Amino acid sequence: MCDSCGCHISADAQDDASSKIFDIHKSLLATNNSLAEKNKEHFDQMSAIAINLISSPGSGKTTLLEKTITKLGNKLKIAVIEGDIETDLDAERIRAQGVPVVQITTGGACHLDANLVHKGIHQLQQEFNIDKLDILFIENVGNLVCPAAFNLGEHKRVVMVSVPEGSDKPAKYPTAFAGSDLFMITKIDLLQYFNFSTEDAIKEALLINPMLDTLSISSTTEEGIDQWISYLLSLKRT
Amino acid sequence: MHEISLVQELLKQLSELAKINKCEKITKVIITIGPLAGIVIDSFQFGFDSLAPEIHYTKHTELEIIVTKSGNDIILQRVIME
Repeated sequence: MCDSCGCHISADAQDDASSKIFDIHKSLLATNNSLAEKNKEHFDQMSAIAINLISSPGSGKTTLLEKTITKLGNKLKIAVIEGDIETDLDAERIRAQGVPVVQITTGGACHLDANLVHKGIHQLQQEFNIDKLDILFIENVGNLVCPAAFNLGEHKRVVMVSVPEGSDKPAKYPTAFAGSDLFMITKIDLLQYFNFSTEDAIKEALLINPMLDTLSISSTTEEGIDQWISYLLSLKRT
Repeated sequence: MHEISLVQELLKQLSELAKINKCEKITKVIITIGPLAGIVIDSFQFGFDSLAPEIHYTKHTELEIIVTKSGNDIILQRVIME
């Protein structure tokens, strides 16, 4: 069979008369992907741009969201879906900013999938009576590996690496970078204390995915935050 | 870790397939995994070995994993049933 799909499976399989061979050629991610398409339609109906934030734990996703809400909260209608394995600590921090937020606790699963996000959107709409949004942030479970495999229906995927993690992260976790739209280096106020080369990190990331946009920011000193805000404003639907 | 989620999805699809085709036993399954799928083959195999025997149709199923030269998907290619 397999000249067609290139999987190099030889047709040696079975001659046994009682055996039946079924050629399926279906992705195991197909169910997730079709749910993701539905999520995207849902986001579009709400006129929302959905942004999936992926990084290791502690790279500054929630802090960046706090800063973003401070800067943009009165200009844009923002909501957040928080993904964590346990607790609603992150949702508390966002809630304190006065923005609609729902917490999805995965109870052990290391990533969000399209089905969890689907439930999250409905919960958000029910609890806060939202019908229109400008930006929906989906903060994925802190993990640079597993979230990369699951499309959530987002319009933009942002992958973040903080300076203390090291500039080898794009090379070591290529999947997260291959599927992203924007690569953001965070905590650049710490560059003076760490042996981190932004040049190397960006070079590696672009080798994996030449289409990546890149930004370097610090939520503490606000360096680069203006570019991030401009990026978000450029995404907003008119 | 997400290998387990994918094994569960595979077993769900296999059970459905066996039911629809009125087969009792799945003898062999062939999947292909792209090098950029971010999947640890050993973990996937381990997940399959742990979960498959719990299900009637896949109690004695052989899993063959082929790593392709390119791509980022994991695809159920072929199922052999009795």
